[in-house]
Order: sequence, then structure tokens, then C-alpha cells
Amino acid sequence: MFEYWSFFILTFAGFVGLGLIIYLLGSRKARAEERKYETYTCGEPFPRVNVGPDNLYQAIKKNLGIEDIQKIHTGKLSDYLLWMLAGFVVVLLMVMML
Amino acid sequence: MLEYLITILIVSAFLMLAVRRDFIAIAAILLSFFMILALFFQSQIIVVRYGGWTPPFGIVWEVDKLNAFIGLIIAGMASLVTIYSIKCIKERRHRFYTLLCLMTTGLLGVCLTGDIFNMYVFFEILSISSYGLVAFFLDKNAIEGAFKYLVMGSLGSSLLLLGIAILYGLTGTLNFADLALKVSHSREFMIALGLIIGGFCLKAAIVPFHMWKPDAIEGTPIPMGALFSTATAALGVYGILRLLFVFGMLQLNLMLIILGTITMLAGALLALVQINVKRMLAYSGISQVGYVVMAIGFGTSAGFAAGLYHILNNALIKGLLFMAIGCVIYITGKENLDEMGIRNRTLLVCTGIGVLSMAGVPPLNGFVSKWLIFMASWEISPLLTVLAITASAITLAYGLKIFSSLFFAQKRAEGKIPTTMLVPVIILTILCVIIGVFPQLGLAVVEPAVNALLNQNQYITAALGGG
Repeated sequence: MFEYWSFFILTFAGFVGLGLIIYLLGSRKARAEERKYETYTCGEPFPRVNVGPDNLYQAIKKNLGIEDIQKIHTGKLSDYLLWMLAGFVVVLLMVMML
Repeated sequence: MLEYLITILIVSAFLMLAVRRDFIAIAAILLSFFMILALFFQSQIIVVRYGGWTPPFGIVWEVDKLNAFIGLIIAGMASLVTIYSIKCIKERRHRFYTLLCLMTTGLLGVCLTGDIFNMYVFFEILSISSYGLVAFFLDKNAIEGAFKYLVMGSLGSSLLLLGIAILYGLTGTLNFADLALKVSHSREFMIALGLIIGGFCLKAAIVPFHMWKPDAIEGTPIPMGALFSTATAALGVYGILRLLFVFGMLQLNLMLIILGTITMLAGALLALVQINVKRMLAYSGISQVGYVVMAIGFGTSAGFAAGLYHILNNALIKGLLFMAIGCVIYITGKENLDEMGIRNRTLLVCTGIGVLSMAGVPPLNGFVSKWLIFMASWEISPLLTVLAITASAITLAYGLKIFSSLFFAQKRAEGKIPTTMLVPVIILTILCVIIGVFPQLGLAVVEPAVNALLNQNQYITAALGGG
């Protein structure tokens, strides 16, 4: 019905191919990475940094305006009700416009 | 058989309180699943008229392929949750199972009834049992989540009731089929329809009606999170679909596309920045419902097929992830991602498959329905396709956040996971892989539902005694 196999095989082959290329490039660059550590840390031993889930995607959070969306979710019931009411008004208006 | 389905569940709920034996609830919910399965394979529309009264005077129950499909998802998920909860819920299990039986009653009742007021009654049974289940742990988070859900849910139910009252005032009937024949698209009808759709938007947690969901899921036992994100969400979408098709209001597709797109993106972005894993999965569930609503909004048969397929896949994936994460919480006792490190190969494989499937990576089931959504959206607007792909990329990002936090943490806990908790996780993982590799199996279930959706005349004729 949706010609599944054609796009399935193509996408699957694409993913496998991409994975293979990344793997090959990754294994070739192993030595270059060691040099990068030295340059980056000015010769000092590279410290092990464990990025916690709190810090992961911080840049995205700041740059994509997610903080603004989060601000709407205040945790206060009155604010939730206000948004819900706004939603009802929007739905009603859209239905009434037909 | 249909008339006994709800009776068995309600009687089991009250028996559970008196006898306090888990097997009663487990047997009742499993039995309901097999009954729905049998109904799904019936070739004709099944109509049960209570007391032999014909519409519009009596209450009618009606099962076509569409509500049998949704009922199958609901009963299937409820069955897995029931098995999962045997060891997961450690105390006051008889109360938990009583509420679970009532919630399943409400979910299946809303799904299978052909009477709009009867639908409201089951909607309330579902809501009240849900409030109890959210408050089950009786701690601060649970009470707060339950209270917020109670207030918002009650407001939603009230508006739903108001909409039904207006419809009854306009037509003098409450039967779906009879309403479809008698209703005229007047301004009063539009107000009623808007109120009822708003009520279902709340259950489906469509933005901006979604705010109860993360708070409720954070407080509720993890098996209930699975049920909220799969069965309740599917039911909300079903309610909207049934109303739009029965009343011939497909012109509302633009509203669905707008709401669906906002829900899809906002849910994904908010999931990305969560630390509490239950809240993250709750937002993820909201985002996936957005995909479904957007696809349905396309108003094409490809869009309906994609949307309904994604309801099925979302149920499998979200059920899998909630239950797999529940196993981690069972061992670690923590819900924050930075404290949830675990060493367990079975969970690593299952969670990995769940995360990849949720993001739409082939050859898993999430890919199939997302691809169908992308294809259907391309016909409407390439911009929608781009937005859907963007949301998928964000899904992969927060999915990997879950995966890395659990299995690549510095401190990783070890422990034995009960078999009754692992079995549902493994079943769902296998289903995700099988449907991904053999998508025709999923289509075989979805296609009859799409056909039923597009042939509402059969539904109306059967209810009124013509088929």
C-alpha cells in the first residue's frame, strides 16, 4: 500500500552506510584525537568530565527559547487553568469560524 | 459478549475490595482483553441495545473496527500494566487493582458506547479512578499531581457535560447515530462541539490542555504512567475522531494541524530539558500525541492511516519505555536521571530499542508510522514535514539522554528485577521489532480501522437498526 520496502531498504541502507562511514572516520582519527587533547589542555592531562543530565543540552535550552516555554509551566494551578481556558477559547473560536 | 465486558470489570473492582485477591483483577482485565480481541475479529458491526430499546430511547453499545482497534490498545496495555504491577506495587495492592479495574471500565466504556451521555458517565468513571491512582502514594508529589488533575479534569468534564446538554437541547437525542441525522450545523451546535472537543483535548493532553499530565505522571505509580501515556491519550484522540466523523465536521482539520504541530514541538522541546525521567516521558507522550493529531488533521486517508498507526506504535513504545524505566526505579529507588545508573543487559537492550523506535530509527515500529506521517504531511505542506522531522531529531536527543544517563553513568546499581516486571517489557520490545520489520502486520490491524472511520454511514445505519 505504501511501498514500504523501497523506502525501508533505502533508509536502512542509508543508516548502515552512514554508520559505516562514521565508524571508519572515527577509527582513523584515533591518533589525531590524542594530539588534540594535548593542544586543547595545554599539555596538562585531560580531566575526565562527566556531564550530568542537568547540563546536557544547556546550549539548546538557552538558544532555542525553551526557557521561555518552561516559564509558562509555573507549577501553579491557577496558571494551568488560565492556559486551559485560553485553549478552550481558541478551540471555540476556531469551531465558530466555520 | 459485549454486555458482559463492563459488568465483569465492575464486579471485579468491588470484589477486589471485599476479597483482596489480586488474581480477580488480573483475570478480569486479561479476560476483557481477549473479549475485545474476539470483537476485533468480527466482520460485522456489533450493536447491543440495552433492554431491547431502540435508539433514541435506549442505550446502545456499538463496536466497529475503529473502536475495536482503540479498545484493543486500551485492553492490551491494561493487561500488561496489570501483570507488571504484581511486584511493582508493594503495598495496598487491592486498592490499586480496584482503581485499575474501574479505570479500565471507564476507558473501554467511553470507547465502546454509542450514546454520548453514556460516554460522559464512563468519562467520569475514568477520571475519578484516575485521580485516585495519581494520589495512590499519598506523598507530596502524588497529592499535588492528583489535585491539579482533579481540578482541571473536573473543569473539562463540566464543559463536556455542558456541550452534551446543549446537543440534547437542540436535538432531543443522545445517541450518536441519531444525533448525526438530526443535528444541523447551527451556531449552538458549534459551541457544543467546541466544548466537547475541548474535554477530549484535555484527556489527550493536547497543548495547551496538557499541563496536568507531567505533574500527574510524576506523582503516580509508574505502571499508571504507561496507561496514561498510551490508553488515555489514545482515547482522547478517539473521542475527537468519532465526533468529527459522526457529525461530518472534517472542516476542522486546520485546527487539528495547528494544535497537533504545536503539541508535537512543545512536548519534544520540554522533554529535552527535564531531569525527572517520569516528567520527561510524560512530555514525550504529549509530543507523540501531537504527531497523531497533526496526521489526522491532514484529512486524507494516508493521514488517518498514519495517525492511527502512530497511536498503536506510541502505545507499544511508550508502554515499553515506562515499564523499562519502572524497572530501573524499582532497583535504584530514584527518578532523577543523574541518580539512575543501572547495570542490566536486558534493560539496556529493551530501553535502547524503545529509545530508537521512539525517535523513528529503522527497522523499528516507530519508523514505519513516522515515515507514513512524513509522507502524508509532504502532500499537505513540506514545512510540516520539516517540523515533524525536527521533532523526531529532538526525540532522539532526549532519548539518548535517558539512555546515556541510565547505562553509561559512573555509579551503576545492580539488582534483580522480578520476572513479572520484565515479561511485559520483553513482550513490548519484541512487538516493536516485529512490527518494524513486518509493517504489514500493523497495517493489517490499522487498515480496517481506517476503513471504518471513512465509512461512518455503516456505523450510523447499524445503530439505528439498518445493518
